[in-house]
Amino acid sequence: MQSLHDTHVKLLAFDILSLIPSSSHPNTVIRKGTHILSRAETLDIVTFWEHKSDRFLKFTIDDGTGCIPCVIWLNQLTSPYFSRRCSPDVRRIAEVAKSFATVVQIGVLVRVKGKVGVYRGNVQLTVVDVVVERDPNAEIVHEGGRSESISTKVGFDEGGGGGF
Amino acid sequence: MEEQEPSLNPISLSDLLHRSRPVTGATFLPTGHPNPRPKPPPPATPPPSTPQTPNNPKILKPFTHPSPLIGTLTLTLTTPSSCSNSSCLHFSDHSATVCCDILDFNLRIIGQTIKVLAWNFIPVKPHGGYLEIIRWSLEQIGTTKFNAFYLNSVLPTYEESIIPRCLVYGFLESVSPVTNVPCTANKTGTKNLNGFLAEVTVCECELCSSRDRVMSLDDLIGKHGKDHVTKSKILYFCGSASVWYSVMSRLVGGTVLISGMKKKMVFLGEGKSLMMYVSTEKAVIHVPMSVTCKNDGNERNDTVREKGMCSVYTGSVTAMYMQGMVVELDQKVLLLLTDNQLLMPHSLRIGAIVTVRNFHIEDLKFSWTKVTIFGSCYKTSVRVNVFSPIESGCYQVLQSRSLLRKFIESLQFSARLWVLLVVSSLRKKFAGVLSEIEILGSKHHGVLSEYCLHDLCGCGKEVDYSYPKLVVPISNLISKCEDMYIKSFYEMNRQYSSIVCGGKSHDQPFRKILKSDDMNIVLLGNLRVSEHSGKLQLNDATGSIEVVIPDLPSVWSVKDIYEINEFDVVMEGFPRNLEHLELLDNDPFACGNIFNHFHFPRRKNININIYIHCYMKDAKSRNHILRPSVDMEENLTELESGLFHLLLLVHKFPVQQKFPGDYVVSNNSSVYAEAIILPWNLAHHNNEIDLIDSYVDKNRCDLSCHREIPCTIDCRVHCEKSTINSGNLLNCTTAAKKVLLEFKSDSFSKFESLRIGGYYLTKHHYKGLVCTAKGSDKVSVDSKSHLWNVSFSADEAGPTIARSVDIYLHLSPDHLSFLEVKLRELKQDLIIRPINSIKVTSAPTQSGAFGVNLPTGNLLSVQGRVMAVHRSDQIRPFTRAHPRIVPRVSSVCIHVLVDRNIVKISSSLSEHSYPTGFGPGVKANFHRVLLTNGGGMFKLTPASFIEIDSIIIDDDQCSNERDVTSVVGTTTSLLTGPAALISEMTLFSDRKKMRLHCKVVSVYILVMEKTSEFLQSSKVNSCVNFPLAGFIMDDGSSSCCCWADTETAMTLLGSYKWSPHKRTKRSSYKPDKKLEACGYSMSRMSDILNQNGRVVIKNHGSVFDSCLDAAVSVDSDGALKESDEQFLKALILQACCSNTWNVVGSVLDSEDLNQIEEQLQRLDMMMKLPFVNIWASEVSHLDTLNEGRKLLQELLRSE
Repeated sequence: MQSLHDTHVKLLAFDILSLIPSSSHPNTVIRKGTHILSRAETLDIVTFWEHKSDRFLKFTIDDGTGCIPCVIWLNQLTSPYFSRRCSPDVRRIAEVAKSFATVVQIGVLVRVKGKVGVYRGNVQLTVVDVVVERDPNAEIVHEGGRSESISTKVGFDEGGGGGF
Repeated sequence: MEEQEPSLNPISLSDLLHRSRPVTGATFLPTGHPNPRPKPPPPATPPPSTPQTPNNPKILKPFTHPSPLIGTLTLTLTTPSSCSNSSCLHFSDHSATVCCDILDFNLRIIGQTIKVLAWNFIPVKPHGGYLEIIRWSLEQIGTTKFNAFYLNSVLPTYEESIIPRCLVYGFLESVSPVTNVPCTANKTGTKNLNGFLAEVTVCECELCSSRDRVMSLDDLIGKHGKDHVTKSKILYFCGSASVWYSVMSRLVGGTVLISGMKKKMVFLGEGKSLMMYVSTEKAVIHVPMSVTCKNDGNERNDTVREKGMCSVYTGSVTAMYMQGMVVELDQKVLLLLTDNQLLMPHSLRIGAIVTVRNFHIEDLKFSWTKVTIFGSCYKTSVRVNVFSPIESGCYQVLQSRSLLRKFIESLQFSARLWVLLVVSSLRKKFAGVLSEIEILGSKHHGVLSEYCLHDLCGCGKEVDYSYPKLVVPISNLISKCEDMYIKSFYEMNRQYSSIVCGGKSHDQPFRKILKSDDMNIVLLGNLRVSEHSGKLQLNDATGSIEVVIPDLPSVWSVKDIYEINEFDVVMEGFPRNLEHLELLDNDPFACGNIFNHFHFPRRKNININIYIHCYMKDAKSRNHILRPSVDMEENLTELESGLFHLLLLVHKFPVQQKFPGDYVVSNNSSVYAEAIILPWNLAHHNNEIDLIDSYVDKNRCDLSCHREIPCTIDCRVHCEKSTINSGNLLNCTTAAKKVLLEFKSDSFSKFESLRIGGYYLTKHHYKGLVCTAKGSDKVSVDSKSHLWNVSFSADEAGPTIARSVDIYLHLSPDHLSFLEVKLRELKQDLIIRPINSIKVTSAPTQSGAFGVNLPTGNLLSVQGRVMAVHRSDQIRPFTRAHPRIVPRVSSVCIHVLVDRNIVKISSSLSEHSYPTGFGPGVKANFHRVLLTNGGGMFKLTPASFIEIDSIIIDDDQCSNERDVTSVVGTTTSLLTGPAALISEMTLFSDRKKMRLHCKVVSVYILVMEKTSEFLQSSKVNSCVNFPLAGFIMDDGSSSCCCWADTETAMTLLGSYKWSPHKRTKRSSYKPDKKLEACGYSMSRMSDILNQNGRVVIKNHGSVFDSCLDAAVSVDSDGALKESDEQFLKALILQACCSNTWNVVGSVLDSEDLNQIEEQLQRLDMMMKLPFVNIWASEVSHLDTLNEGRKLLQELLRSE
């Protein structure tokens, strides 16, 4: 099995949703039994949005092939996970997360990079970086990039139904 | 009204008239008046001094001692010769009679001797004067008992009782002006009768309607409130009773009691009739019984506003424009008094407080200004409540009624104001250029009438005038535009963009475009080429503004007045220069500033370039009525026959700047252009060919030819009249010859319309341009010689080209291609070809024979879109040795997008050398730029000429908030084709350059040092040096470690974002320290390095979790400050934000890898494995449009 660990693999929503957790490698998922992934990148429109202040922002993005649930954690300043780090660093991370949360609005096209995980049996993207894409051409480039990178490395899936 | 004035020396009127100076006798007003009465004028409260008041107001000079006047107040039809205003009362003493106005007027004083205690005297030319009576007292009381006046004779009478039948008692609503009505008398024939109408609303209650009861005026006044007054009655004061106009006009708004009137049915025509009360010989006007009972007591002063009519307004006169046709009240409303039948009191002066009654009110929302106007009609009356303490002239009624005035009177009020503004504006614009008659047009229609009639003639009153366009003086336009520019700069929170070039941040100009439609104004003026700057300007008597006209025809005339309806005003300036600018506190387009002949001085130190961009197709020549264009006819006849030479314009040399006090450039400077006389001539059919052979021997000009091509000459010089002739194009035996055309200042206009690369025809003449050129290399183009722009086509209809072409030559397709081949051959031999790509090389010019410091290289032409222009101060290498000699050269760096590549052109030329409108967003041709032998560098030389093809006027296309990507450079010059994947990189051989689309995931290692001053590279003008920089990058297929040099590392760290291109508004002018300095990040980094020496940032943790585990260490002993550490981490975090980069790089070979590994080991770091290690040679932003296009093309191809 080929490892694409830590690479932000460009995938369509239906592809991300079909990922299954790996039993052998923690924090990774397996794509069609051939690739081990931990991260993905996707370009979709925000269709759902739930904000719990100082806890998290949950949102769903839709690219026409499926809806991916995503989460931005906003609890850096209260979570014990971050307590071992020096506080200015945590503050900065919290600031960045907060700024991500402000750009996510229903109807905007966002480019999301994140870690793929499974939550309550469903695939979920824990967001590392999110930007609003204002240039419509970026969608084509993303689609093209996805087909290129996947066809070479992962094997292009003809039955995707998205993009072209 | 008894006054106790013990020792006063009366002054006579003749004395005042003799002095002939404005003077006041009001300063000695006694205080402690026995009878409480309304205050006389508050001593001199002049309106606040504003630019609207043309001159500083002078207060009336007081008399040296208290000097009362003693005389009689009369109503007479025989007026002093200087005045024919029937609204005037008259005051006479033993010495003279003058017109006068009086405060606290009472009927009782008519014909009585009064003592004038306080007064103003205003001389009226030629020998008259006007008396304003502020306070008075009756001299003799009770000599004759009277309580009424006969209307016809103005004789006092005592009426015991009032006959109720003929009584009219009520509020005087309005009076009409005195008119002259033709009247038919039985015996004497036809005679004209003066008269005026008055409207009185009367009470119809039982008490008043009772016919039996006889009441005194006192009773009436006492018992009736105005609530009962309901019915309106019209009174007609005819014949000698019209002398009462002056009194009645002062009583408007008060109560009157008139008896003895006769009821008559008056036919108004068109089947309408009205019951009127006409004055008779017995008619009397009753005087209120009590002396203290003044009209004011019963005056109606509540403002009723219905159907656009307003009943009353009181305000002070703040300005007066257009010979009194426009009176400004309280600096906010304009009272239009355009009807010359309306009689206004002379005391309507600037500074007076007046009450206007019965006027039309309109709130105008012109797009250029908002204003409230009071339109006057025949019911309108104006009464002065407080006389002006200012030395302003008397209100004079214009007696003449010109065509223009009649025209104005036929318009709606809003349009009247507009016409008056236009008239005022035209007067200013063409002062000294055109005579008043030509402007206002009484002889023949003139500019204005032609202009007005064009837009308004035949329009009824129903027409909506809500968006009339205003003609503005250019000085007002410039001030307005500057103001709007500064305002919008403030409104957008002083945000602006900047670019990074050579490691330094440079501001980009802030651009604002105003469209004519938004301003609703029209430009009117002459076009001329400035002798100083050589730039095309639109000019009027108030100023000039630079103008860019892409379709400037070859036959424009400096004499013509052009009207430009559609245009854009483009304004550009550098934000840093704008911070100090303040907004004007009054609007240059406000009516007052248009009416007043007031010049806005151009603000000093204002660095805003303002120019107008328009097309000649949208302009109209407006002076053909004044000066029928003879030139145009001559032009046509010149073109109709004869022989023409064909020229190709090869180059234009820039205008030598000439400024006042500049003696280096001679006064009669010239401009030069280079042209090639082609061996082709054009002859009109049947006329010239026979003649040519016979001339060959006699003259130097050899016209023999060996080939003839028939053609059709389609002449379109005159837009309304085009002629088509047949002719022949003759290929001559002579060789092509290069000449230098010299244009003296009188023919600058011809130079302006020439285009490099254009073909021109010039008439053959033995003293003409071409024939004289046979002897020398330089010929002078005078104002009489024409150069006609010519275009060749195979299409009869003629191609549609945006640029104006004078002559089309239609050839058969075969002939055309033959000609094209021939011309191309000639061009190749003689000129430098324009290029679109940098690779083209061309004929080398002189190499550096004159000294080492002169740049050498090839001259090229570059065409492209200007993306950015910025100043870049360079230190010349030799100045270190001689620091006193020109330490810095101010040079300009121009980023031009040429065929998808960004090319930098540097220039040391002065600011004035660039054509008007040059800047980002311009498509331009750079002719004869130097490609230095070192390669890669373009330089503008003093002979280089920049020609603007087009200016992007749309704000959206050339936005101020333009994405910075466009200036960082979006494409790399080296590699095209689809991008490679990181996962594929290992498959390729070492050092093969590939293009990747990837993002920075984290920073692996970053070593920062301060740049040594002497080692500062010319390429990167930065104070920070990165000896080692490794970034982890990811493209979705795999990750790699990307090693970079200083410039690339700076780009990847987002140095283009470091300059404060998004600045916040300064709060109350306190500089925001955080954002004050430009290149804050850069300077902070520099500070950190100064304090700590070398800074190393290492990533010890997971390289994929950005900078969470970044460790920052310094070489110095002391630890890095916490804030500095956070600052550096923030920079790294910023670099890891999703920016897709276009990276050109190659896989590192083992030798390079070893070197890096050694460096890493010294820093206790290891080479990250199993990463592909790449050396990034170029980094730019991803051009998504291009990439998307390429991808789609690939897909189409693969299908």
